Amino acid sequence: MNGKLRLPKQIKKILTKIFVRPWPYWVGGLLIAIANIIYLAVTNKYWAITTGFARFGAWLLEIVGIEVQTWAVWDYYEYLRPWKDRYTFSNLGIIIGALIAILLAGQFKWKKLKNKKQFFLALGGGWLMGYGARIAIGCNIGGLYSAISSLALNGWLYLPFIVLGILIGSKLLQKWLV
Amino acid sequence: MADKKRLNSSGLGIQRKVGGGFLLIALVIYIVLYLFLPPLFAYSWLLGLALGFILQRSRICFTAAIRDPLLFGMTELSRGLILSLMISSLGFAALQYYRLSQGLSLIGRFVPLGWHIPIGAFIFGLGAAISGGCASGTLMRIGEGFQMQLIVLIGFVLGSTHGAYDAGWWYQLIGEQEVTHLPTILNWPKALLLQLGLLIMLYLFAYWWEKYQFRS
Repeated sequence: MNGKLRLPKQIKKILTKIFVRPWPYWVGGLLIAIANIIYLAVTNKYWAITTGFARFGAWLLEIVGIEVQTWAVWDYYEYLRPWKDRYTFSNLGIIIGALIAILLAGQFKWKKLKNKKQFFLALGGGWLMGYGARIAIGCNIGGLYSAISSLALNGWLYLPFIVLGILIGSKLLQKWLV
Repeated sequence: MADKKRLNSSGLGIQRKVGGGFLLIALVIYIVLYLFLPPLFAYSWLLGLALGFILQRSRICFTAAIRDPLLFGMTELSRGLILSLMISSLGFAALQYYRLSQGLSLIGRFVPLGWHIPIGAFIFGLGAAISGGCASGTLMRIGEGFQMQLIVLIGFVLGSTHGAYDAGWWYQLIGEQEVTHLPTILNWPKALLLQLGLLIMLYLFAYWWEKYQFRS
């Protein structure tokens, strides 16, 4: 009887640790590295995000009749419609993966926008990220994480300047909000 | 936490069931993608799911990893990501080395050097600080139910499209140095030594920085 009761308790403890308690950062870091290595080994491709955003936005413009295929940017990387773009699938996967994780933890909750200021900070910040990532050809993932993982000098060049941007951005934000 | 109080056991059960439902649907989508489209799309879907799950469970945010040491002196998250880069570097290096030794092409994320990288990375950093998240963090928080990050994503797509429209002009800054793969520029032992040396130094510096900030 005792043994029977103890086993489920231990399993429950392990399940709670995996699905409810937050993981230590180093565990997350380790698993992200492993996932990326496996993806590279299987597909010969690296993880990136924002090129997919640019293609998606261009496709929306195409729908309303604007000529986007002649943009010079596609000389550097191909123009693909969203359903032919692997980034569409990985980006949607991140959203759904996070949704599954938080639901299994029982912690999902709609978090509403607080005010107008937050709306404009979100829109403006997102816009700057999108624009910057296009100029640098990479966001914090393609330009930084995957690039440094590839032993690429461009990743190491990216790092000090994203640090500088975040430092100055944070200081500006603190000043605005005070 | 307020939301923890509100959840009674039955609420938790419902969330779990919905979560299980989504997991099942996600696996069905994987199978459908695998059967009817090039396998790359199924693998990319799976990669996204795994990374979304991991990012949510471990609360990893790249922006916080860079901001927190500078503003608050906390470096645990930064060290987690530096560790991640050490491991991924070794894995990527092994795969690259193997492929090159087999006469296959070099794989990885390479961008020719030029002023477009510092300028773009700086603007990206500004935006990340203002919106409170990076590309991966924004997607992850949408999954967590944050309305704000949905607005960030709209801005993100608008800015990306705007940037793509202007990119032809910016890419004039792309310089001559097209080869950026360190082992090709140096050689394998030197490149690995440099790469891991830099990461270990960053790790130790982060560790010391936190100790220094909280010394008293």
